[in-house]
Amino acid sequence: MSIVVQNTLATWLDVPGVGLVFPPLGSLTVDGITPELAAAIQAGKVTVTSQSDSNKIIAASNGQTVFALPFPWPGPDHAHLVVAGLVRTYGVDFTVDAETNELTWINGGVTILENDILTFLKTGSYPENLLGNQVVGGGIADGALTFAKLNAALLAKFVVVSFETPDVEAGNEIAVQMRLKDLAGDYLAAEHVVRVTCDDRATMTVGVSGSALAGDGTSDLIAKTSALGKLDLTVAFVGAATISLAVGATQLSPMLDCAVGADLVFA
Amino acid sequence: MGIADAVKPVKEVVLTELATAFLDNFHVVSWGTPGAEAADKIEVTLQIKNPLEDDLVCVERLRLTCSAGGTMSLVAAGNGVVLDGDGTDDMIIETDAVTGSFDLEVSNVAATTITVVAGVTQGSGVCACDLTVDLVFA
Repeated sequence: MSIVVQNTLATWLDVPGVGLVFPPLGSLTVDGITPELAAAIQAGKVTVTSQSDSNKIIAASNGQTVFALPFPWPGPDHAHLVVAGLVRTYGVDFTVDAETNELTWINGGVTILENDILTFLKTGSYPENLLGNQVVGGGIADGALTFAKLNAALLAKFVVVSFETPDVEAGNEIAVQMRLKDLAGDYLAAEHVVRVTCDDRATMTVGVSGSALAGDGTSDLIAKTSALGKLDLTVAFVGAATISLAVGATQLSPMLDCAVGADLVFA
Repeated sequence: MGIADAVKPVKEVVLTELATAFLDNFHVVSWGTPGAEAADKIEVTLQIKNPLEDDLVCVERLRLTCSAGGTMSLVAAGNGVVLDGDGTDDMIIETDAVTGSFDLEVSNVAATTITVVAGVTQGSGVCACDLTVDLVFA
């Protein structure tokens, strides 16, 4: 939406908070009405003199590739093109000749059809002639994408092995539970195959949670976690020593971070 | 946040946009420039990096194997720890906790090229090991 707003006062007018400074009786073009601007309109300081939807182009014919832009091209960081509900990529789907102010559709795999709507998402309610100076675009800032911004399905692709605190030794056995987590450190409820190895003087058996696929009762076990991402292990060893458990990826494993193992102290 | 942040086109997120805590979960094996051969031995340093090729200070457990004829050890007083297979062509190692590196020494008496390959093993993190190093013995 392109809106022309005029200062009704014979003096300079600064609308606070939005960077709009009107000359006496002067007009500025904005993309939208902010609360501050609305307050100025209600106070009678400025008035809307015209408005038009400059953010859309309707294709005139099938296969049209060149479109005259209805606004000065502010650059790809300040205006994004949406076609058929998808944000299109500058340089891949389209380009703009800033001199002629024409958009050229270059994605040969997608044909623009008659009456297709090309919608532009532009930065906020700044005067268009100031757009480039007022707003810095560019998407995600360097270093800003954290685990928290990944959706759950993506986060679950990165599986991290962890161990709970081992039980106390009883009858030359120590029970310990392996749990899967995601990168954010939350427990992951998923069945995954892992290989668990330990000192070959000890043996491992799988308990209630999880299932042994091979090597149950040995020091080299292939096992699958339960649907809750748990693997109960009981380690048997006669003597006094620390038995270390190491986990690794094997056939059928996902992307797996196995840096954390478990040390079981037998007395 | 500007509108550009909200409408970031798909397939555009690049490595530099990942937070360090995210990026540093993904380890990459890299190799330094091999030293000159001396007494049938060549030294080369393995360094763990993140996907942006920044050195990572982390203990990473790896399996190193090399071409037949070569044997591997830790350089005397070098960084890292050999867990198993010292003096063989199949070794389990840990990188140094302070530098994230392992100083490898490869021995070979014949005039040939010995290729060293790293791989993940029990206790490894998520680590890309697709870079190898060729050591040319004269």
